[in-house]
Amino acid sequence: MSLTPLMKNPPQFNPQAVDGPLDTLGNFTSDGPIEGGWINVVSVFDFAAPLDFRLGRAQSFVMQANTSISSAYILNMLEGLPYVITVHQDSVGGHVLSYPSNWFGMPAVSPGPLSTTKFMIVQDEDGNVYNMGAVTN
Amino acid sequence: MASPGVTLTATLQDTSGDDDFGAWIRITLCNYGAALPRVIGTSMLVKIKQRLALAEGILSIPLWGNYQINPTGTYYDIALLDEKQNVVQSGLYQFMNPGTYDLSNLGPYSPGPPYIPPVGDAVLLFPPGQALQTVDGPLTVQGNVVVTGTVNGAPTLYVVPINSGTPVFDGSQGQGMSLTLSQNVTSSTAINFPNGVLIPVILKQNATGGYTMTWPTNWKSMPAVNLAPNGVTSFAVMLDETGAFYPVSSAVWSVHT
Repeated sequence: MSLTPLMKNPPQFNPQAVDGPLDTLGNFTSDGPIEGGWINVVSVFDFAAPLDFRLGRAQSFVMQANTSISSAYILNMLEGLPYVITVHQDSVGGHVLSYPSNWFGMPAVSPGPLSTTKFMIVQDEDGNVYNMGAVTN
Repeated sequence: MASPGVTLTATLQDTSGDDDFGAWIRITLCNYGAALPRVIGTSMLVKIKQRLALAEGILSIPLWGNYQINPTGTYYDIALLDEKQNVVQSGLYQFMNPGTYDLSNLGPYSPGPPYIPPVGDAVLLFPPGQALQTVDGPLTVQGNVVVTGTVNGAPTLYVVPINSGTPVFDGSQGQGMSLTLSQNVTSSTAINFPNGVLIPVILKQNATGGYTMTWPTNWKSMPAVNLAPNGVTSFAVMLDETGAFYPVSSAVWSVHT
């Protein structure tokens, strides 16, 4: 863990920034919106990087071949929260996506070249993941 | 213009009943903390200390009442001094209401624990400079909060108890709802949901299956339930501004193992 300065700006400076993780033992209340990473675009899902939902609740990737997602490539999914997965076919299309064994009701990906399949998922208390239906643009 | 709300009077006599010409009185404001005390609603500073000779043994002086002073909780130390300004007697007094008070029959004030200036709700438990910081209490931010990581809060999934067939979906317990049917649900309710938030719903049959579900009356257009053993009906709803919940996706049926 790096010991970088916590407050980047002097006290009383507006705005203030926290340089590192921030844990609150009480409520965290903001009068303004809370912004975080929401869309993590993985240009090509090639197993070089996992689908990390800490980086965004929406994950998007392009298939260039038949692809199998294993649980090892799913990181930081919190139970009960809705996530969106968007799958694009490349210009060739026809690639098949298979899911982890504990993912239920998952859709078959649209095979057409450059086609898009977008759906919501949620994880239950047992770690199982369920499709909550298609998302339309 | 604010004016002192208290008048303090005193008449000092010697043992023969004559006015005491040599007496002094010293008035000191106490317990205002680290910052200089101000008159509430003004930029005026409160006089902290004054020492007065009693002409003909009679005193009449205006004072700021403690109710007029910021911070609250202040009181006065009032001391009688002899002609050489040695302290003869002193006492603590607090004036919480406007009026004229005579020192000869004034009851003393007994202060409680020392006044501690208020601090912000959030207290950093670790020294500045430590990368992982913990705040001991609520944290209120008056501007936007930008988080490059995730915001972790209360549990995100509420495993709803079946409650003898009358479950309660409680939005204060999590964003998503998971309910496993082990009997028919004859009625249900939903509480503590904010509107405009996507609420995942996972409705599961147990290994027996075949149980029916009665959704809360304000859940509209709800999907049919998968009755198969271990059958799952998963979808998302959202509360609108009228207090009604509507599905925002077509439900998906599946069977978990």
